[in-house]
Amino acid sequence: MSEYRKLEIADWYDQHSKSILSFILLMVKDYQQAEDLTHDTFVKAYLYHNSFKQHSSERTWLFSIAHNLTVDFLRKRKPSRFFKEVFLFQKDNTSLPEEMIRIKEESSELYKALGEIKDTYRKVIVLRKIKGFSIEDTAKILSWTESKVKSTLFRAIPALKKQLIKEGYLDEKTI
Amino acid sequence: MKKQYEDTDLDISLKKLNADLLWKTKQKQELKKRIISDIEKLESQERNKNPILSTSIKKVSLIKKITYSGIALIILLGLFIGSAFISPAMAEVVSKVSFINQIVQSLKETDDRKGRLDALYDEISKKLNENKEYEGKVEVGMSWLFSSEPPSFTVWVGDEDFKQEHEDEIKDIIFKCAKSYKIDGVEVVLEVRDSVEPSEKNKELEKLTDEVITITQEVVEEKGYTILASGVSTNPKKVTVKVGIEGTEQHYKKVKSQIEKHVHDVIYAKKHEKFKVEVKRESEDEIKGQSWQPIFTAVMEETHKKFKETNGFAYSFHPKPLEIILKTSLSKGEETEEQAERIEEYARQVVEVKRKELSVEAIPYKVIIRDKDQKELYEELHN
Repeated sequence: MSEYRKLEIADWYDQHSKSILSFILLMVKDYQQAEDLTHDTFVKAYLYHNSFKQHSSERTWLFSIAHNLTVDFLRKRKPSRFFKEVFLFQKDNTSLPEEMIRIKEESSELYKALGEIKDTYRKVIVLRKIKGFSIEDTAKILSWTESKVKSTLFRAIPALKKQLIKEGYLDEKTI
Repeated sequence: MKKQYEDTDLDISLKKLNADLLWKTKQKQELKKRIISDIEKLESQERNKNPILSTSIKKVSLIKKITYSGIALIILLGLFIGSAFISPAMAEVVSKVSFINQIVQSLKETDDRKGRLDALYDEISKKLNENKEYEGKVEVGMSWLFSSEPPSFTVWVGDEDFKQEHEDEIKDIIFKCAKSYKIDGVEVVLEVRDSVEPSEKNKELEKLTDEVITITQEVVEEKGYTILASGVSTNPKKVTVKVGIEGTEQHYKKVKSQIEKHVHDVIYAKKHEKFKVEVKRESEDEIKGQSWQPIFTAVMEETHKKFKETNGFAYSFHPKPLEIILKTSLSKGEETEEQAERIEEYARQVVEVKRKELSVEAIPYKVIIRDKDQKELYEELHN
């Protein structure tokens, strides 16, 4: 039984790991942390495999685990970020270690702008617009109501556009 | 060069971002190996022995090691130098209590202030009544919409001459009392009471009303029930009482008709007046409303304390779900919608803290934030 579970996790990893890693990366803006949290997502999926009731797809389930782990991580990180910012100066979190992951030039502006908007806006845009989840699945992943997903996305898109304008990547006349 | 993004362009660009993040295959395979290896380690361990702790087998990067070592060094240095050199902001972060604890603390402070306001009112009433000169001529009332705001006192006096003579003295008594109870910014207004002598007919009606209420109360209590609210009208002659009757609808109907007949008969026997008697009991919503009342008060008080834009409150159990409505001075706009969302979130936390404290049963409810024109700005359903 555990051999089957292990094989299934390996199969899920092949299919979804990149998508999950990039979701976490967009949320935490730190590659090493994103890799660690992706690791935890699949190990947790192995441990709690029995609780996967197939009410949703395994992709939605894996994303909800990843989301919960990311939220926990961000919550715990807040005080240590303060120390870093005060004593070690703010580092550019958006830069990526190119030997491990890189982003094409055409999308780097958008990646940076996404990193600047607030967490709730970022995650709803990533799940709905980048990962292409339905409103229902996004609500499941975030443990929100569907109306909250809609209303937050409604505010998130203008916030992203505003950020793109601020950084000079988007022409104000087009808004 | 600036790019021209249309809505659809933005959608396309966002989709493209997914593909444009290129994760090195070697890195992906290394992580897979790490996961499978950790899963195998877990398999070989006892299943139920701290499975979660076992998951924290991770690589820690050199950068992070340096960062954490640096932080540890700075903290040690800080301890050596002494707390006086620690920045106030850092002290604030260190001593920062959680969001929930802040609400619990704020609720305690509100209770404390309400207690002080009640004590202040009692003290002022006592001081004014103790003065022989004021006896029977002065009456005081205290009012406030939000306990966090300064209260206002209205003092009713018998006539204009009395007001002229004692206004400063009375105000001084109230201000001194308020200061001793640490209540700032109180307002005091003196008003001359209109003393119109009631007509003989009105006096008689008032007497009859009092007697009918007394008779009704005696009859209901004799039957072993309690009156929760009562009303008497003399034109048409009618007594309406809300009685605490528990049990099935059938039992309620039986008790209701018995009390109605008995009260009617006793009033007729004693006063020779035929009063229509109506007995009611509390509806399910009223019972719910009573248990939720302290929660509503807490939401109203705490949201106003935290967000001065919140200036009104309403609730409704019908139609379901329960609606908790917060009225604000906000006007429509993106910025204010965000503020409305923050108010909603805070209100929800207050509801949950207070509901758990009072062990009130959880029911689905909606928090609605209205703008200055009473139009809905934001709402959230909580199941």
